[in-house]
Amino acid sequence: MRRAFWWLVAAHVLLVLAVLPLLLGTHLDGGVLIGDETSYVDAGRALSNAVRDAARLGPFDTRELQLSVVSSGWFMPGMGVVLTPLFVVDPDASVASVRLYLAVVTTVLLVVAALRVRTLLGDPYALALLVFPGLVPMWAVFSTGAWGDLAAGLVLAVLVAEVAAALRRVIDGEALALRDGVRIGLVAVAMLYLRSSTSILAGALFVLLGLGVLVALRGAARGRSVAAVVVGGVCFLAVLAPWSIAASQTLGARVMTTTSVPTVLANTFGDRSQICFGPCDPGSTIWFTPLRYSREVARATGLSEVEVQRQMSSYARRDVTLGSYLPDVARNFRHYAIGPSAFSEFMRDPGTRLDPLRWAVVAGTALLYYPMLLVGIAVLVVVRRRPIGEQVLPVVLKVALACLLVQPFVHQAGSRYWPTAAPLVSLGLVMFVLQAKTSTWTWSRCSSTARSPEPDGAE
Amino acid sequence: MRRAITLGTIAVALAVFLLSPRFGRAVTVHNYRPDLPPDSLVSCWPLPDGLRLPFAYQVRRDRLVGPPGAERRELLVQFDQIDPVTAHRRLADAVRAARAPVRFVVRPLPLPPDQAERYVVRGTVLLDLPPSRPAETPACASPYTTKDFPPGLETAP
Repeated sequence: MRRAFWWLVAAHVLLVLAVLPLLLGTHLDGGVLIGDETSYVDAGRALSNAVRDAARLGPFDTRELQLSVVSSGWFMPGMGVVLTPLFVVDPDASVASVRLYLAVVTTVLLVVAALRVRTLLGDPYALALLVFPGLVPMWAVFSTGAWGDLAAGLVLAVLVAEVAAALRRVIDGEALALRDGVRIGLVAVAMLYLRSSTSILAGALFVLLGLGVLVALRGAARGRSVAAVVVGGVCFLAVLAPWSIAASQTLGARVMTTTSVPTVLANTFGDRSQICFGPCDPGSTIWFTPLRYSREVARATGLSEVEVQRQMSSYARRDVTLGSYLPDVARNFRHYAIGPSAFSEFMRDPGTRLDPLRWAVVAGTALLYYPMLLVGIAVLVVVRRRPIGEQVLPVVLKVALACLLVQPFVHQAGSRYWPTAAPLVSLGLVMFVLQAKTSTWTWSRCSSTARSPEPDGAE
Repeated sequence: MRRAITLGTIAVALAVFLLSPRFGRAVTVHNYRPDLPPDSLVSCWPLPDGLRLPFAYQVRRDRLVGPPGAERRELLVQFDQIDPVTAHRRLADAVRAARAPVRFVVRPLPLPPDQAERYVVRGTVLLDLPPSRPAETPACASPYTTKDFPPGLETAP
C-alpha cells in the first residue's frame, strides 16, 4: 500500500509537469493570470510587503493591505497567504514562477491530505484521493492556479475525515479531547480562508459534531466533548476574526466572510438591467460595474457600499418568482457539473482549435470525471442499512456535499468549482466499495417501505 | 532527525523573514479595487452658472444630443434619499436662484411609494442644459468619470 501511495504521488507530479505547458509560455506568451487569479496574486504581493514591514518593525502600509488584500471584500485572503512566501523571497516573481510554486504547494497539500486521511480513515481512502482528483488532468491544471477552490477541497477532505473519525469515537463512547476540537476548528477555518463558499459546510459539520456528542455521550465524557467542540468553535472564530474585522473596518459594514453575495444573487437571479437602479455603465463586467456604481452611491450618501449593494440586489430581484428562480438554479447545476474542462478554453493558444494537449486534458478529465459524477449523486441519495457506527461517514459526506451544493442555489456556477467537491466524491466511492461486500443496497426513497426501520434510527 | 529538520526549517524561515526587506518590495496593482473616478459635476463638467444639485446624486449619463450647431447637453442623474416631490422642489429653487437656463424632468423609481422608501436611490432627473462643457483635463478623459460613453462600449452580457 505504501509503495502504491508514492507511485500515485509520482504519477500526479508527472501529470502536472505534462499539463504545465497549457498555462506557461509554450501556449501563452509568458503565461498570464486568468480572471480572479490576479486578485489572489495581488493579495500575496501585498502580504509579502507586510512581512517586510514586520521585519523592519513597521510601519505597515495599511492602505496597500486594504486595497490589495481586503480589496472589495469579495475573496478571503487564504490564497494570498499561500502565495506570500513566494513573494517574500522573490517580490518580482513571474507568472511562470507563481504556477510552478502553486504546483509544488498543491502537490504537498495533496500528499499531506492523503496521509491524514490514511491515518483517520484508512489506506483505500488515501489512495483514492491520489487517483481522483489527483490524476484528473484538469484538476492538475487547476492545481497550478491561484483560485482557492481546489486547495479548499483538499482541506475539506481532511475536515470530513477528522469529523467522521471524531464522531466514530464519540459513538464508541470515547470523549473528545480539547486538542481534537482545536484541530477541527483550525482545519475548518483554513478551508474557509481558502474559499468562502465553504462557510455553510463548516457550520453544518460543527453542528453535526455537537449533536453527535450530545446524543451519544453521557456524564463527564459528554461535558468534556462539548467543551472540545466549543473550543473548536472558538478557535474557528478567533482565526476568522482578523479578516472579518479588517474587512468590516475597511468597507464600513459588518462583513463575516465575503461581500459578494448580494451582487452574485442579483447577477444570477435578478434583472441585470436593473442592478444599478437601472442599467449599469457599459464597458465592463457584470461584477465591476455594479461595484463601481455602489461606491459612487456610497460616496454621495454616506452609506457603506456593502449596504448599497444589498439594496441594489434587492431591487434587481424584486420580480423574481419561483418560476424564474428554478430554471436559473437548474442552469447553475449544469454549469457546475457539466463540462469540467470548460476552463481550459481560457488556456487555448489563440488561433489554434485542435490543440492536442488541451484535447488530451479534456478527454482524460471526462473519462475520470463523469463516472465520478454518478458516484457523487449516489453519495447524496443512496442510503444503506448498517449499524450506526458505519453510518457516520455516509452522513458526514452527505451533509458536506449537500452544503457545497447550496452554491448553485445562490451563486452563478462555473466549471471551476467542481475541484472543491471532488475529494468528497472520491471518499464516497471507497465507502461504497468497502461496504458493498457485506450488505444489500436500498434507495432512500423506497427504504421505508421495503424494510422495517432499525431501532437505532440508522436510516 | 525530525527535530533537526524542524529546527532547520525554523532557522531558514527566520533568516528569510529577517532578510526579506533586502529582497526588494513587491509591486501591487489593486486592479480589483481601482480608484473611484471623481464626481464629474465637481471635477470635470460642472453645471452652468454655478448651479449645484441640491441633493445626493450620481451621474448616470452626460452627453451632447441634437444636430451639429444646435446641440444640447443631456444629463441624467439619480437622486438619493429624498422623495421625488422634494427633489423637484429643491432643484427648481436652485435653478431659480442660479438663474440657469436649465429644464428638467423628475421621475420616481417605478415602485409603489411604500416600497420606494426601502431604497437609497429614489428616482432620476433628466436635465436639458446648454451644450458648453469645459475642455477635458486628463483626469476627465475616462468615460467612467464623465459618463459620456462612446457608442462602441458594450454592456456586459
